[in-house]
Amino acid sequence: MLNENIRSDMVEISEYPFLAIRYGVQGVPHTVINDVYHLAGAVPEDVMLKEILKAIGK
Amino acid sequence: MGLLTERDRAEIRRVLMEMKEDVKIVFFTQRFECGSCRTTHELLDELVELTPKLKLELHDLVSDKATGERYGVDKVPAIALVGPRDYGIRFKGLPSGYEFGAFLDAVLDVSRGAPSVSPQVAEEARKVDRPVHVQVLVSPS
Repeated sequence: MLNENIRSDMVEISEYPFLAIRYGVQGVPHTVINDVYHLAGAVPEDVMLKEILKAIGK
Repeated sequence: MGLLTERDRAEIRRVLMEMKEDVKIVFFTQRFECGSCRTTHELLDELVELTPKLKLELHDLVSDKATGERYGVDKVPAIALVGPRDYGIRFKGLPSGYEFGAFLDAVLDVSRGAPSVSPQVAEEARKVDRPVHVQVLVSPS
């Protein structure tokens, strides 16, 4: 919501098992940014944003 | 009685009183509903009874693929939360257990047009200058 460039999904993996397999998810919650960057566990908002900026090379 | 107990309803009603603008729950299901589609549908039906500011907009993804594409939805059940604007917030699958709390938080944020984050985070977020897709994978709790 802070930036139009960002969109987010909550994904229930029991209904999207192929995503869990594709991303090699071992535990939840598990965050994936732009299909490539992974974060395991609960992530506070400031860390999430740092990781988003890293994912886009900033 | 349904999925929500009287106590749940009272608590959720109290939470939803903090809503500002109306929020549209754009819900994608299919005519012959799978188990989780049916449960999600029931849950949403019960939820929108708790405040006039929540509206349910139903779509059958099979007969209305175009709307699904517009919202970036290709599987059911899926929910887009839309307030004054579409902020790109989607729930794919039934938001149950802990995720239901996150769902209500998202409804409030969308209704206020602003997420509840610190000013520093809001400031840093301005630096995002290209598309970012965040997927948080969860399991029923």
